[in-house]
Amino acid sequence: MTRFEELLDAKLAGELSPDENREFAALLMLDENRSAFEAHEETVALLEGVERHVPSSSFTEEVLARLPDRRSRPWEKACDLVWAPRTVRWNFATAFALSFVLVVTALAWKTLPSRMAVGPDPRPVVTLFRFSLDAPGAQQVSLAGEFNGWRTDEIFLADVTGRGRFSVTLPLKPGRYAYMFVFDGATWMTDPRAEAYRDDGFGNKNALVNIAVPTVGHGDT
Amino acid sequence: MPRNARLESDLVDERAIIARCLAGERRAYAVLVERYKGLVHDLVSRMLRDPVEAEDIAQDAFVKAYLSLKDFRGESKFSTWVCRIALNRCKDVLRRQGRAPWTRTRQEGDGAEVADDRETPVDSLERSERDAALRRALARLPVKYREAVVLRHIEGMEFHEIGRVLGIAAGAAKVRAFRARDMLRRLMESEEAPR
Repeated sequence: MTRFEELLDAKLAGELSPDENREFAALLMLDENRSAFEAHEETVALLEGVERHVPSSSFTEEVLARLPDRRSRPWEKACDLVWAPRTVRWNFATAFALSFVLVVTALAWKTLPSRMAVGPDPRPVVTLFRFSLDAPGAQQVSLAGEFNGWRTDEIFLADVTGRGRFSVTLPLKPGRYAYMFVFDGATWMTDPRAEAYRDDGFGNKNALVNIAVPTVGHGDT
Repeated sequence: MPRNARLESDLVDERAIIARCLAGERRAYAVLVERYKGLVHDLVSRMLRDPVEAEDIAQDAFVKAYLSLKDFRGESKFSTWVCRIALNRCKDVLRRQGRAPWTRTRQEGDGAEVADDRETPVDSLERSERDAALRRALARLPVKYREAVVLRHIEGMEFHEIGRVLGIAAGAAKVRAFRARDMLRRLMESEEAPR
C-alpha cells in the first residue's frame, strides 16, 4: 500500500494522529487523491448503512436442539447414579434392616483372621510428565492446555541450564490432553515433538499427550 | 468502560461460559449463540445469499464450534473463532456447488425491507435500489475480497481480528479490504452506466 492509501484507511477508521491528519490534508490537494478518498468514503458509508440480515427467532433453540448431549455417555450416567444426591425416606423397617446389616458386619469383622495377607499398594493416580522445549532466545515459556483451562499465566517452564532448554514436570491423571507452549505470554507454539496433534480450528494444531494408567517410571517430552 | 477493559472482561466471561459448556451445561451455550448469532448469520448471508441455506450454515457453524470447544484455547474471542468456522463452511458449500455465489433471492428489491417511518416512498425506493446494487456488487467480488470487506465494514471487526479469521496478517487484511472497496466502486459504477 502507498503512504496515501495507508493514511486513507486510517482516516476512514478515524485513527489519524494530528500530524498524520496534516500530512493527509496535504496529499488531498491532488485531485486524483481527493476523488479516491471521496469514492472510498462513499463506499464505506454504503456498506455501513446496509440493512442487516436477521436470523430467525428460533435460531438459538434450533442450535441447542442439534447439540449432542455431552452427559449422555454411559459412564457419565453411571457416575450420576453413584454420586447424584438422593432423598432417603426412613421408617421402622428400613431402620431395623440397617441395624441388622451393621450388627452382621461387625460380627463378621471380628471373626476375620488377625493377620490378613497385605495386598500391593494402591497404584498412584497420577503420572509425572515432563514437558520440554528448546527455545533459545525466549525470555519466558509457559504451558497451557486442557489440564489448566488454557491459562497462559499459570504453568511456567524453567530454563535450568541457561541454554534455552525449557522444561516443567506436571502430575497428570490418566487421559488425553491437548496443550501448547506460549512464548513471552503472546506467541503460541505447537510442541514439535508431541505424540500426536489435533486441529485447533484456526488452521493450527494443538499438541496431544496421552497419559496412560500409571505403571512404573515417568513420562517425558 | 475503556474498550480494552471491556474486551478483557468479555474474554473472561466467555472463558467461564465455555467451562460451563464443557462441564455439560448445554444451556450455557445459548448465551454465546445469542451473543453472536446476528454476526454469524449476517456474515454467512453475505457470502451465500440464499437465506434458508445461510440460516442452516450459520447454525452448523455454532454446532461445529460446540463440538470443538475442547480445542478452543481462548487466545482470541469466541466470535473470531466461530466466524472462521462459518466462513470455511461457506467456502465448502461454494466449492461443492461450483456456482457463482450470487443467486437472486426474495430479498432483492421485493419490498421486504422495512422502511424508515421518516422516509418518503421515493427515499425508500432509492435506498432499496442502492442496497440491492451494493448486494449485487458484493456478490460479484472474488470471495477473498468479499469476506475482508464484509468483516471490516459490515461486521465492524478490527484488522487484527480479520487477520485471525482469514488466517492472514492484519496488513494483508487491510490491503484486501482496500482493494475490495475499489472493486466495489467500479462494479457499482459499471452497473449504473447506461448500456
